[in-house]
Amino acid sequence: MDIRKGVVVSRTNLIDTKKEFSIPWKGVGVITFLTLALWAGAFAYDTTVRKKVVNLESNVNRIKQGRDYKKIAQVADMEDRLNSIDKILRQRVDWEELLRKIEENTLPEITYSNMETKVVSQNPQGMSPSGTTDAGEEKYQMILKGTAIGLSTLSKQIATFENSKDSNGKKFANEVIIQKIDMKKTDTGEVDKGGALDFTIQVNINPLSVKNDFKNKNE
Amino acid sequence: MNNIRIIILPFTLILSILLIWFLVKPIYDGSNSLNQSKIPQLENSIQQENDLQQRIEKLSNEGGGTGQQTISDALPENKEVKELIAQLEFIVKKEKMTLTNISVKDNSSIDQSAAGLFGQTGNDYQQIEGDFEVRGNYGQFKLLMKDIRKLTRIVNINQVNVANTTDEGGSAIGKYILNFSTYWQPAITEEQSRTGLENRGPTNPGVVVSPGIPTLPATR
Repeated sequence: MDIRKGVVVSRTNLIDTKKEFSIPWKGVGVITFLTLALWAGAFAYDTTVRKKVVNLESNVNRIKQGRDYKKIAQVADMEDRLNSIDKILRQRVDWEELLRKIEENTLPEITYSNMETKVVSQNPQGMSPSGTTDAGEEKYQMILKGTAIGLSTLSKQIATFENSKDSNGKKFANEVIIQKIDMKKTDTGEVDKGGALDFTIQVNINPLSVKNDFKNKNE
Repeated sequence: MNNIRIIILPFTLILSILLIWFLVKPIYDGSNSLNQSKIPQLENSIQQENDLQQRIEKLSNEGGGTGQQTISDALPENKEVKELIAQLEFIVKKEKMTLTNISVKDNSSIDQSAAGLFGQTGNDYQQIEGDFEVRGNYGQFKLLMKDIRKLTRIVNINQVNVANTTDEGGSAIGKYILNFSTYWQPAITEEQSRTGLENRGPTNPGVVVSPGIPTLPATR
């Protein structure tokens, strides 16, 4: 009995061992499928992207080959020239207006011998970032040399410049600085009895009053 | 044996993760990098090229003919001042003044480092200074200043020196010495355009498109 019983037990063990070797195909299959799908997806994505790059590169080359460099040069030159003209005209003083203002604001006892104007640009490029002109960017300076009868006449003249305003309320001079005063002397070296003196004044002009306003000139 | 069955699934999973990490991910990363950097660059290049073409067409249509001539007259591409001197002489005579002296000093120094509008090497404008002396009365002088303003070539008056003198008949007249500046600008060549645009890559657009193209004033 013991022997038979042992045989039975042995057979039962054999059957159990066969069951332990079965592979979980379903799980392994799902994982393998997902892995392969991801690989295939990445491969397809890579191929699409590379094709797109090749297409775009060929488009860029095709467009570049169609460039008309002569025409581009002409247009670029014209545009550059326009920008330069704009910068140059912004340096220009409207002398008609300046002379008119000086005439209006000069006392009869004053005689000028020299007028010098200088435009000091506060923006080195001469252009505002937006490409538009802005009257506040430049400083207009005028050096006036002349003769006056007496110091009081000169001080009156300076006050006249400083207080002058046009019909729109625009000031002519922002500031007047005396650079030099010399009492006129006779040939013998004596001070002129009439009180005549030579002066040099710097007038910092309000840009709005004499700026080259080409937009409003219809001549 | 039971232990082997337990580890098969995790082993497959780990193997799969390793494959994805070392094989799939590099492919995906490479493609993604192309997609995120190179493709936008190329698309940007195409967009810029198209914009450039449109801009050139537009400017070419707008700037042709008399407009272009006016611009070239105002700021010529060479420093020649013979014509300007002739024009000055003409307007002085027109105002019945006397031109007694004229001198011109060339201060040009070509700087081609300026960035051009389409990425090409640009040229800066150059300045030529000069002085001329005229004689006449103040009314004539004012008219002369008006005429100078209307010259086809830009002439900016920088300084006016005034003195009293006498004419041949002994009458008192004014002597005016005017210091002026006129300008010229070398033309942008086809070669400059080609070099500038060819050096302009997707990562270096090089385009310095003016924010607002100034229009030539009708009169100066």
